Amino acid sequence: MKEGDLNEQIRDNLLILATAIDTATGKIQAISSTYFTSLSGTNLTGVAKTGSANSFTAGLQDFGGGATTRLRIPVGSDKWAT
Amino acid sequence: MAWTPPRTWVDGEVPTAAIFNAHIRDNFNVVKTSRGDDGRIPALSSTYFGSLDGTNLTGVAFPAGANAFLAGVQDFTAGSALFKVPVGTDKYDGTSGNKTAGSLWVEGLYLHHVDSAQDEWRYLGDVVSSPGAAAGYVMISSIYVYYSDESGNIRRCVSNSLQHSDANAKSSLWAETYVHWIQQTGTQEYMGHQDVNHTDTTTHTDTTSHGDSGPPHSDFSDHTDTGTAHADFNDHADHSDGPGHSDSSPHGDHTDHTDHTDHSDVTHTDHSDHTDHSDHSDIAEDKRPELIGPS
Repeated sequence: MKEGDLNEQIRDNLLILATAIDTATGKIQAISSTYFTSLSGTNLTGVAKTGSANSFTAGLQDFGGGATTRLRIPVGSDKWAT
Repeated sequence: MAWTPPRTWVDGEVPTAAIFNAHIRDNFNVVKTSRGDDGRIPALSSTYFGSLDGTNLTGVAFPAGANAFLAGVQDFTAGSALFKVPVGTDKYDGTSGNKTAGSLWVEGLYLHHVDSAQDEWRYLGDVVSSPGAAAGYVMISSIYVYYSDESGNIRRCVSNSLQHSDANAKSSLWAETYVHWIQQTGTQEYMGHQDVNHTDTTTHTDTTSHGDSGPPHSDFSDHTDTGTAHADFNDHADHSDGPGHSDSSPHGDHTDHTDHTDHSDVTHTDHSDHTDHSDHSDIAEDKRPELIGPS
């Protein structure tokens, strides 16, 4: 067994795998560009998205959940869209 | 489970079991923590993520200032989706006296919003149906904004204040001083404000038919004095005394007439019970939003 093989195939690969890992807990550290190549959430489900990427095409979109929920609509002149 | 910085191997090294266990087994266990046996991360949960803060994500909605909705169209009404706003008392963002512009909610029978000057307003829409709907649904249908109140009614905000018209505008909803919207199909912008076209009724009149009753009262004048027909007896005649005569003396003047004094006036009374009509009223079709103010 050559040291080059072990260093490349075990040490280096392990370091790559550990890049996004909090080695104290084993957890992925954060949802950030440090640990994710893309942060696009368009594949996520159950969240609100922008524009046509939104999956709110049916069902109930309840923005009033919880007694302390607040909602803002656009403010200003002519906040309409084409 | 503990992480050990991966060992740098050297030629001719004869690893011990402890070295292999620490540098290979244990380290692989660490990196395996957030991966399933198929190599994928099992879930977006605190079991596998040190932080679930999603503010770095793109293409999703965030709360308040973290929101990336700084431009473009945020369409929450695509398809047959329903839209529900907060329901209850004072569901504005911010604090009294410093309410956040753009807050929108249903409170009681009203649709509230906070305008661009941080004043709160409320609309009382016309009831169009009472299906027992859950409160808080807001929609644009035809040229109106509809909402469901806390009594299960569907109410409609009517506007006669047309703004500009642009081609292909969508059914947007926003706050200036009033709530503005673009009609469901078409291009017309409406401003949620309506002047009151009240009209004073002018049909009240004072009654003029009062009058004194009894103009035919009159003093009795048909009394007559009685007893004017007295007459002095003058048919006596002096007699001549004969011897031993004497005057007959029982004649006398009649004095027994009496004037009538029992006439009386009719007890007429002036009418004072007329009243002016005061039941006119303004037409109260007030469709304007009601200003509640900053507090």
